[in-house]
Amino acid sequence: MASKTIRRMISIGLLLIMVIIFSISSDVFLNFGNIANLLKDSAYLGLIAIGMAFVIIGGGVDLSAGGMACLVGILCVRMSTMGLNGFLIVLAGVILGMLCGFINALFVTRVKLTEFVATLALGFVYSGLTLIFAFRDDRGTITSVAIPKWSSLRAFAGNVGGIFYITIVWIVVAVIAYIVLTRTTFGLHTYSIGSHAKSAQMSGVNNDRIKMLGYIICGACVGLAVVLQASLLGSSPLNIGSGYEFQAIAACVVGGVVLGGGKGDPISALVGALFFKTLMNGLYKFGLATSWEYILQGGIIVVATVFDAVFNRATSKRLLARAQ
Amino acid sequence: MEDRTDKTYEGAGGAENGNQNDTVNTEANDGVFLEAKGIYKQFSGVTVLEDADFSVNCGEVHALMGENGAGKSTLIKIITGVYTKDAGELYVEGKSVEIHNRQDARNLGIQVIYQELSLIPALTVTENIFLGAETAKHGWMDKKAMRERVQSLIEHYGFDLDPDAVVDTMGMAKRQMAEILKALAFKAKLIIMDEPTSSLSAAESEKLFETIDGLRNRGAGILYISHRLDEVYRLSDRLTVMRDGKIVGVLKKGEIDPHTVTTMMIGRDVAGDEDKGATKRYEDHWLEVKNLSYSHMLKDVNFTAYGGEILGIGGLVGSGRTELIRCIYGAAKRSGGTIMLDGKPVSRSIRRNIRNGFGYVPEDRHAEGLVPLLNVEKNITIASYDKLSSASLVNRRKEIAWADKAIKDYDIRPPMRTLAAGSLSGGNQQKTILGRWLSRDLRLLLLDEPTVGVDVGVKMDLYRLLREFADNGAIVVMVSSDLAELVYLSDRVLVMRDGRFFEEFTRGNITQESLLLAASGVHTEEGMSL
Amino acid sequence: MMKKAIRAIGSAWGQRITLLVLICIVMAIAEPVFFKLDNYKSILLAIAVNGVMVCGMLFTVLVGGMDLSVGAMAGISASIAYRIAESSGFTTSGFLSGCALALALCLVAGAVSGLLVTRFALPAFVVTLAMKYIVYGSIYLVTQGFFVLPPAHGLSYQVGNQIVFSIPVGGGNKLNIPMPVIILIIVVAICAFVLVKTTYGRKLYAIGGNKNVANLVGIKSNANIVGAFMISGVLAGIAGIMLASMNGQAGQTTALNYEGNVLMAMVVGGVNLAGGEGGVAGAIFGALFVGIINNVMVLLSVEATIQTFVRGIVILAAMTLNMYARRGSTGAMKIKIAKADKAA
Repeated sequence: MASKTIRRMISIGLLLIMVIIFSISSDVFLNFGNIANLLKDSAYLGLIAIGMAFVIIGGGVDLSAGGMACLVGILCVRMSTMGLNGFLIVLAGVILGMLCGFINALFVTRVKLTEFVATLALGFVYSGLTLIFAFRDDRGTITSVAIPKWSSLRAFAGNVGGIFYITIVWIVVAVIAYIVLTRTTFGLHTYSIGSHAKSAQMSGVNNDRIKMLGYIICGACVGLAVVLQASLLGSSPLNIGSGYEFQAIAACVVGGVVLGGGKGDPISALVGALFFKTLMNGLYKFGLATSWEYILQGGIIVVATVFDAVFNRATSKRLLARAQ
Repeated sequence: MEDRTDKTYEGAGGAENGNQNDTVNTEANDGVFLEAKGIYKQFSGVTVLEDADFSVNCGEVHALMGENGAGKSTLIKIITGVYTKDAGELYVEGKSVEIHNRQDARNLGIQVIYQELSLIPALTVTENIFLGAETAKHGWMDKKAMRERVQSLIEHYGFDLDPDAVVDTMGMAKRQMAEILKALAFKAKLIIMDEPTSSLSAAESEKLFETIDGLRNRGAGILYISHRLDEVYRLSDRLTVMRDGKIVGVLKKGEIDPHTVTTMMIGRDVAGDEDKGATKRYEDHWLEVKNLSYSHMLKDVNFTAYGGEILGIGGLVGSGRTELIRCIYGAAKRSGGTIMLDGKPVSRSIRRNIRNGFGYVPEDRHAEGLVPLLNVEKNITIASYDKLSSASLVNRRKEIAWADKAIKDYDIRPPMRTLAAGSLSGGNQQKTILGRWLSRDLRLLLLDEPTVGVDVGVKMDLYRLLREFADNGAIVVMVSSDLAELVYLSDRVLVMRDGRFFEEFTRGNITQESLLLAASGVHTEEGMSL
Repeated sequence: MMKKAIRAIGSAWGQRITLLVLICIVMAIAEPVFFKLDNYKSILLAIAVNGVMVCGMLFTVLVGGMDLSVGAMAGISASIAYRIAESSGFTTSGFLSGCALALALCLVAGAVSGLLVTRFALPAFVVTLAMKYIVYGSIYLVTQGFFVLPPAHGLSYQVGNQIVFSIPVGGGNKLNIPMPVIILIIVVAICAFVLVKTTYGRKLYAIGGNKNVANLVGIKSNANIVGAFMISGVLAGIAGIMLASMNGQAGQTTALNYEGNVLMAMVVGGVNLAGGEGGVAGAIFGALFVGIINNVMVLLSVEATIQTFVRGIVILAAMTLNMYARRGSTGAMKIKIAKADKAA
């Protein structure tokens, strides 16, 4: 069996085992409301993780995603107070995200800074800008302003038979992203630059352009995610995206998108996000303190990356032995 | 978005039309495909290719041989558009052509398969073959068409390949096939292979040869560059030998025999090594290797080297030479056998071996020899902190004196201690690395290709240093592909083949010709079979 | 003469000092408070904490790694030390044993990061970012979400009449130099000594410059890398205790996200984030620069949180400048060699 399939089955298997354990041990876990909520929570993270997957598969990483979400979120709420149509705001959110992604890509491909430092620094810039655009009262103190009750942006918080729009959007985006990565030349090129950048260049792939598109797509996903989340929350708290770059990386890594590039797909990111949020949700039901959330986030990344390192080493050894 | 169907490739339609327009024009089977006339090339005043006349026919395997630096790779690079020629004419299928870049060469049907393959490990065979030139409409790939096209190519050429196999699950031989298939998909009429068997096992090589035979029968021209005489006899219809930037001669199938070829490669004027006078052998200082084995690369290797002696290790790349000295040094962990220095067992730890007077100059200077960011001084003293420090504190005065002495003794230029080592010329980088070891009281120096990429003047300096060093009683074991170097410097040469010693030559009997023959598996009268 | 001056300003250190002088001049005009003695003290105190962390992270960056967990490490170290001090009723011995335990824990956490980085060949920034979250979460477990507040008289620990650890700004010793600044000076001196004078320092540069070479000359690269992460952990721990002492409280927000400041100091100081290049002098200059910038922003009443924006911009600008400076210096080096060749 292909190692890809095995890896996918491991992450889905773990997810199922976890769901079973939580359902048995908690009465409240497996009811429709909780699952719908879980899916809603996963969707916000999941959308960002899908964007992140594009960058990671292409051999990079985007540590600015959290800051970017904060910035786009506050700008979108501002637009809603100005009475802009909800659809337009969603569109604007996506475009703003793409713009941020484009700026990331400029520093990575043109100035050629190390990706994680450049995006980390840009993350600071975006979170700083968030405060500049934040709402203030007469004395200049930052206040929280909700999306106006009359704004059509609020309509995006709705649901179809209990399933929230954001969940549906998440699934649709995951499927589209999957198709893009597997069916288009852009997708093929993304895998090729993540797997072996030099050979890809030699085969006529425009590495910089593919990398740039990856960052832009990541920005678009983040923008979309945060607009929908803001609409759900009814406002955009200043920390709406804080830490989400890290959670998104964790989701990707758990699902099987290998840091370093070339492996995994948006479905991996989807499974990973679900895994992550299910774990949090289940543990919350067990009454574990919030502190465990952080510890688990870090722990999951360590365990998943170590697992992949060992798993990949073992697979290549096995394949080498078979080839000889 | 990335609609490239109109480029090099046939689109989906090509696959539907079947095999007849696949790659090679079978009608022109005997015609001359590529002809080069009077090619001339020089680099900063040094002529590297002179008056080269050369041709490859359709449906022939044409071998190109010559020592390192004979001009083979320059010629190939001119044909494939990496370099531009200074003078001369190129004809493809009788028409005069100018090849300015790789794409030009591709469009003319010339494809190279490099030693380090260009496949992407995470992609399938089909995806790799079409990478950069996908069958696609507005960026949407037609996966079915691509797969069918690859399948039809595989069937047409009778390759044993699965179009959906992911490359990193395939063995080297299959990867090579996929690479060849990629060339064929680009409608290659001339495929250039540069040492294709260097990372293949014997069985895998045989598979490759069958593939090459198949291609020839379908009318493709193949230019085969190799150092391995046995492969060349097995495969080639014609053989061109190069030496010192010139074409020495072209041999037809019947005329190819080991002695003729080696004589042509080396030149008739060079005889054996003139006796440079016996060197003193220090019998009380010796390195003894017994039954050494390492993975599948080394099998049961035995030898003894003495103080005062430069022991050359010859053989082809991949014969186990590098692994041998890395095992002695401790950089590779031997799987069996014993190594003794002066009767005492040698450790597996590099650290302890260095303290015992070992030194190692690796083959790849940039990857393993030099710390480019650090200055010359630090690059020299890096291995000698045991002598330059007490209680972990570096004695700065001693350190400076140590480095200055090495720079002076080994004539490193410019003589600036504080210069970043990465900015030195290749030869001076090598002197720096050598200085790192020679400045210690070494008992055993292991060298791997010590003069690659070093200009002639510095080369002679290095030879002198090594000779003096050995004369002072140390053991020198030197791996080299440079035959002249082995002949000039060695007191004894052991030639390796497939992880074993094949022949031994002693001073007075070492000739380039016999070394080359032995490396290719032909026993000679000069050597002693092992 | 003029040329020489221009060249001096153009050099890496020239640029840094010129920039600093320019900032001072601008501040002198914009905000005279900047030149008040008290202000210097607050700058120095801020630098003290940052500087100690910078020294620690420098070790990991030199070997080609990175430690993004320094902020969290500082936080947990402060929390543990103060928690134990609190449970012992804020006695000197309780405080000191708390410190010892806290630093030991940071040492272990650093070792774990180092082992993960070397043993499994994982990118250091991922491992240490994960470590940041693990440690940060653990702070809640230690403090239960509350701040540990020392009693009102502050945390001055005396042995006899001698003040061992004085917290209040302004210090309590005879020279009137704040204790944190003294600690900084000691840490800087030790780190500079280790990097410049000891074989361990030399080995770190070699490993960061080319790990293969280091291994082939008998340096145990992996062990040394783990050591670097341990040093980073301990120094972050010390910085945390210092910060908590100055703030008079320890909890989950102690030194939160300080790694951004540390990283900024690193790139401003010309430390090569790819490893093998940079030193204590540059890093401390970076810390000084960051301290002054932060101070300037406070004086100009730039909101604390907007400072992240400036931080990001400074990192990007410094990295971009370093990049071009490095390219330029390679060119200059080649010219130098060509000249020397001609002379020979």
